[in-house]
Amino acid sequence: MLASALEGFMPLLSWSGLLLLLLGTLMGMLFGILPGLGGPQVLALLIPVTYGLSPHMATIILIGAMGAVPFSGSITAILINTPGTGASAATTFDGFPLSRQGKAGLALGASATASALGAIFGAAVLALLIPVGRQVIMAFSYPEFFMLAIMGLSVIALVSQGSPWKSLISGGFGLMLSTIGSDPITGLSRFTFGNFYLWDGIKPVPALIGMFAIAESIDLFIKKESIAGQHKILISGVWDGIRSVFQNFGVFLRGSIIGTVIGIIPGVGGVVANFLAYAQTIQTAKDKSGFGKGDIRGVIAAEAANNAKDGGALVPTVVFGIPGSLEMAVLLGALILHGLEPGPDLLLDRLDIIFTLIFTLVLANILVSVIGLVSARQLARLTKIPSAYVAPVIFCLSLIGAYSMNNLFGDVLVTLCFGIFGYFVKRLGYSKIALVIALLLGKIAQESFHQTLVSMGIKGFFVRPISLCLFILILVFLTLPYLKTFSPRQAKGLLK
Amino acid sequence: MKKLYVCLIVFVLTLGLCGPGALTAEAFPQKPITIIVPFSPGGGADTYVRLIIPYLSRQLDGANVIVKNIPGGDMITGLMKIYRARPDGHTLGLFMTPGQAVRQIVGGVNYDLGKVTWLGRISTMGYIMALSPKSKFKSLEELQNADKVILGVANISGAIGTLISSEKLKIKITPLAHRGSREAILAAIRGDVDFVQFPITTLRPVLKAGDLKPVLVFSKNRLADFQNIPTIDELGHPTLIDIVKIGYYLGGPPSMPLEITRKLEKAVEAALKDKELRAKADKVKRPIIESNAPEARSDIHAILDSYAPFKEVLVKYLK
Amino acid sequence: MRISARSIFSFFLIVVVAIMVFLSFDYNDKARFFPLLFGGVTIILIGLQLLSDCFSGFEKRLAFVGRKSAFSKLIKTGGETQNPSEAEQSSGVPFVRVFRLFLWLVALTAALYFFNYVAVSVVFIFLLIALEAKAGWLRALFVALSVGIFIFALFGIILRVNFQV
Repeated sequence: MLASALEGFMPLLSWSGLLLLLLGTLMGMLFGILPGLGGPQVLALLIPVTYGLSPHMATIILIGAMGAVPFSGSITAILINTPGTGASAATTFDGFPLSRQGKAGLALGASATASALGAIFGAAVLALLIPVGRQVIMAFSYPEFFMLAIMGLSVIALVSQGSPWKSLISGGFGLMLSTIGSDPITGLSRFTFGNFYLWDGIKPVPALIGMFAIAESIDLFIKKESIAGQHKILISGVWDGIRSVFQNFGVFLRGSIIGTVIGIIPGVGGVVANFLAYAQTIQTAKDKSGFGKGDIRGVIAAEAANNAKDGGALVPTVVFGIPGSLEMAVLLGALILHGLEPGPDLLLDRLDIIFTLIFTLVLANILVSVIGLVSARQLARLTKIPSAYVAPVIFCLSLIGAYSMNNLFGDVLVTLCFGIFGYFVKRLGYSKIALVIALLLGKIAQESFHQTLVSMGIKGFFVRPISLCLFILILVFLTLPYLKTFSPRQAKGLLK
Repeated sequence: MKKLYVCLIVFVLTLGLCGPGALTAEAFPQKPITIIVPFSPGGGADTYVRLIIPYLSRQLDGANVIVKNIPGGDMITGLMKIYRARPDGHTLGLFMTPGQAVRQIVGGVNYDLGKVTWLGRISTMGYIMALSPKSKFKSLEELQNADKVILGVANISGAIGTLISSEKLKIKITPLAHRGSREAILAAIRGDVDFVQFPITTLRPVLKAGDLKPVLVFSKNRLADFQNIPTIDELGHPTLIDIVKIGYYLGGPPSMPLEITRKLEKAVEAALKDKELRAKADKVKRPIIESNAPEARSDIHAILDSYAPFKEVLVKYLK
Repeated sequence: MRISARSIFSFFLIVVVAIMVFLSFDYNDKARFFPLLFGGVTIILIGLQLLSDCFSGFEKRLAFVGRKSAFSKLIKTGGETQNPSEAEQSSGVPFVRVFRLFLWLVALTAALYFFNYVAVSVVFIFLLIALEAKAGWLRALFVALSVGIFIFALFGIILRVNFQV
């Protein structure tokens, strides 16, 4: 194994290897920053570029691009509340409020650090797990997916920006929206009115772009402010940001673990990872008052998970030849074109390629974080530009970006509708977060619920150890705050 | 007001940017050729197209050939984009049978595969039935004798062939849908479903690794690497071979000019026969089993004909 | 009865959910399970909210609708940037301007469908900055053109995006 590791590292030491790494990373950054574009798009674009390259070099440029996407998506999430990719959405919850307080440097510093370290964590787990990856993946089935989805949904109760009642309504509405489309279990189309675009339901990414990028830009444009408003940009923030990750190492670690685990489980999706990590951090924090208003721990947790998930997603890809994410699917396609058959064979015959993959993932993440840290100050200054200039640009880029994802005008319409709808959601005190979470997880919850019933019956949820544990955890997290409000004396009073 | 005029002028000018032009076969292609793939990048169909693109380009004197992925709507969205594209030869597409043919039979769609300008078939693949090692059923006979068997499928429309074949083989299936074929395969490996049935190329890696057990092959002859697995032909249901298989075809919108069509047909045929391409495809176990344009045309009609008798079943599952 | 932005929005929400619930009665058992479940609960939630938004009498009686929950007791309420009344006050911006911006966005989307997106972007950015934000012609032109070049380079050349394909 060590020999393969060395063999896998060598290509990265060559000039062409480093050049391809840089090129891939820069491409990945560009695609990560723009709303709508992300990992799958940049990989698909780079496939023809790799035709003449050796498998090692092809891996370097592709993974270089892939590794640069998560953090880049977070840059815009923090600066302009526009996650470049769905997986950076949770970073906006606390990252953007920090920008509004003039602390963009702090947020970026923490984000860059948590991202780089999270990626290293994910890659390390990947390397260690390859021998036991099978058991881990096999342990998660429909009931576990369902419980994870419910756990994510329970966040709605916690992350209320404002009236919890309205959060519940937002969540409920999001759940209703998630029922639109072809129900995979019955094959029946619900609420599609014969339209083939709606067959796939309301896709989360266009909805995200609409609600976060466009709605926010509408708000800023109307109010004629800049993002940072009257606050001065705190320049020392970047170092503080870096330090904060180490000061909150527990938060970072938990976020990384969650990200990796979710990444490993095919079927839940990487976008869920950052939401769950964020939710989990709130649930376990003693002082919850700052979340949603600029608590750096929210940024750290979301970012760690966002990057660790890629390492995790490589596990089923490498172990079973079953891609753990959309990016992995494209990557596998690219590898096939280079004559590499995905699957357990790859593990046995070409372990060196796997190691090139792992090392490149780590290096790309570090590289993009360094670039981000170095330019953090300049990037932070962007938050001072008057929204009169920024907003119109975001409108155009968002709508065009939404189209570029799948070449579907329907996506553009969804983005527009959610942009307008999202504005009212925000202005009238409802919760964007709850709606997005419900939209994302609603489908998974429905599917896995039905799947459990057909395959195992209702006992499936309670007979399996992991599912049962998750269920108990959910109950604990939901009732704990209520229990805490009772002091022992009150409890005694009740008993009398 | 002046500003409005400026706007109007700009808009009108940009309209001019989309002007068409008459083409001769010699001048073709005048701009990059786009092949629309109605799937996300990275899947089986997409990989095939990307595999042949450099060779197709070579046959067209180095013309630029690019892939555009338009997934969704159960393959129909992308198909409609191909069908409705300008028939000047610059927009082509990948078609997949039987899914798109099945939809046409069920009705409610605005395309007719009979009118597509067919250029050739890239490949075709039979299916394999694979049992989960954790299932309580250990053979095809046990499946047939059971009261309830859980079949893992990707989506219902993609599994129509399997549903029909299971009915013919008298297996009482309860289909359980998943997000994609990969999730269904994983479910089978875990033991959450009893068996799956997918194209040979899709299942080959997991079968080789022993994660699933092959029990039946939907082809005429036994496969080279699965010598001891019986075929559906041996079981006495040879007609099912045409029902349970997929095909990847290249085609263009209806009413493409004859000269350009001929030029493309020739290029596609030559590209698919290219030795280098075939060697590469064989190496990654995605063989090119091509047919030329006239054969592809009759293929499509044959597929439509073979599914027509099952219209009731199809409507039951897909409406 | 109060007719405000809040009550109209709640009304909109409840109508949408009600329509979906109504339509789902046509579906088979399995397919209608979740829409009915989610929809039923959500209608009750929105219904109470609607009553609270429309009638001050209800607002007092249904105090729990607006009140913070046990969770929020732990979340200290000082300095919340998004509590409901503040969010609405801070946007004391008249809805007329908001709707005008919506019209711009709808026009942009329609234009993207029919015309070349590079040209549309340039024109849109220029007009929006110059006319709505009134931020100076020259600056508007500069921003519009530079962004236009960027869009052309990335989406036009590298990605070959084409709205009319």
